[in-house]
Amino acid sequence: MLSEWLIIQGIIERGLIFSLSVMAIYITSRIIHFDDLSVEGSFGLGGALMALLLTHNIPWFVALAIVTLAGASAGLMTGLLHTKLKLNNLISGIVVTTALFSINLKIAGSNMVVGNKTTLFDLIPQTSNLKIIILIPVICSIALILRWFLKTECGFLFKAVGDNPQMLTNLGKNPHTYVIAALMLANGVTALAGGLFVQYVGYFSIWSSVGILIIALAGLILSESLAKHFGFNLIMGAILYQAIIAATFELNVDPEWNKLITALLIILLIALKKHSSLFTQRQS
Amino acid sequence: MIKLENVSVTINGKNILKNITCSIENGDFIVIVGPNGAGKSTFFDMISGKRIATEGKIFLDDRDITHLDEQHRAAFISRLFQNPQLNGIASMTVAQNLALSNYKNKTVSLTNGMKKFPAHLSSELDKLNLGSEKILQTPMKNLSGGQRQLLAFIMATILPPRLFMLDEPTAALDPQSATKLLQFAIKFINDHALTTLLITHDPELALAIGKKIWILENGHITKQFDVQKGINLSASDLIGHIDYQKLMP
Repeated sequence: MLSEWLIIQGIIERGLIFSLSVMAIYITSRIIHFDDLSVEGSFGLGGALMALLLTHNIPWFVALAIVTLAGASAGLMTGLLHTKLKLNNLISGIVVTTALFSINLKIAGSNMVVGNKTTLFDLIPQTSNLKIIILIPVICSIALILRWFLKTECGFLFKAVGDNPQMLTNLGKNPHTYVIAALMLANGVTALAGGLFVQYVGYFSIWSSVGILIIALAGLILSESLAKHFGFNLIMGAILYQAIIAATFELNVDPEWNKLITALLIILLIALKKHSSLFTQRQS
Repeated sequence: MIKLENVSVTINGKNILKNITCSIENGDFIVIVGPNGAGKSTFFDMISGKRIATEGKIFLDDRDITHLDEQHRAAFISRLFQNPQLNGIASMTVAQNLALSNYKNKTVSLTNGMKKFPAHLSSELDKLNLGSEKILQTPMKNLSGGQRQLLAFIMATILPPRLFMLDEPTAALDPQSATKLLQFAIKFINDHALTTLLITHDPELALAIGKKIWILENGHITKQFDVQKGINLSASDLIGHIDYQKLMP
């Protein structure tokens, strides 16, 4: 019974952390309609930098702020490549992610153990090991802040720039500014997820960031089966994805198949969605 | 007053607008007609700043705005596009679109996005019989093309611009919606004495609403008529003045 609870707890905790990347993907692909691949590199950047900062005795909360800003800088780079050098969305993201892979290796090597440094999770007694108690309020607060932000004037302009950039020009606003700002926000949030993940597991591995984009995308598609808006459905989607992966562990599937399972899951979900929309159209 | 002096626009080596010199006086309602490919939309793009003139100068009163970009010219120029998709945010509600259109020339902040909702426009919406209470919460994408263009008109004129440009605003609409939009637009433009440029292919419409009619052919303004001076011009006469053979190469 206890081991089952620990598995469920782990699923929820990982889901909560990865839900930040789902939120990031939601901002880029659903709000500004920019398929941003740099989110993958930013997650690794957040993790690498967090490991380095913690091992240099930087307080965990300062480190979280720094990794968020570093992620935002990566988003800025993607945005500048796209808006100033006119690189295609995908190419801008690939270029930044590729560059960040080397940078992350230089920052923290392929692995870096944080050791017994104080982290966010030391706010609760070590013996309880209930990191979920910390993660639920932290992640829910971030989700609520982002949801509030999207209802502000700046948030409205984010939505507008994704839908019709000409409209921003008509309003005397620079569409590029808002594309870059949204990319900075998304990459900042995903770097924060990378940083939190390192604090959670206690080490950085360059391979832990590989495939984050597809994990986040799977979480996003799952969340959209619950609701389409920005809200707690994104967290539920990320948790649901973790549960599916955990189920494959239970079925003794070799973890090396994880990425293939994720890819197949995405294909299946998209196919189901298309099939159901076709069905709905036929009904109407 | 907007003044163009020897303005040319070249795109990919093609001379689309050639040495145009003209003046748009305050309160003018100028209808631009001409064959397809004559350069009418490029003429609008050049005035709005979407395309910067390759040669010549553009003045707003005495200010040289030749090199001012579209974003900054939007402070005094509003434009209604032929394609309703370009005139609003499809995924946002009508109320959100109206609030958004009131961000023009204002700084935006982290306050509620609906704070700048122009409540005074409810009466305008009532006049349009769009069922303003219900329509406000309807996503823009669920409206008909005619409803979208009407709302786009309201949004574009929320702050009366120095120059209002309408690029075939009724081209994508059914005749009933087109009439409704034109009636509303003409009344609004006349009531507010808006300086207006309108592109149309309809000579009867041009004669009915334009105070002046300019014919644009092959990148030149070839003829100018002042309807206010009581010229005797019929729709067929106007068509006769347009050389439809003189298309762009």
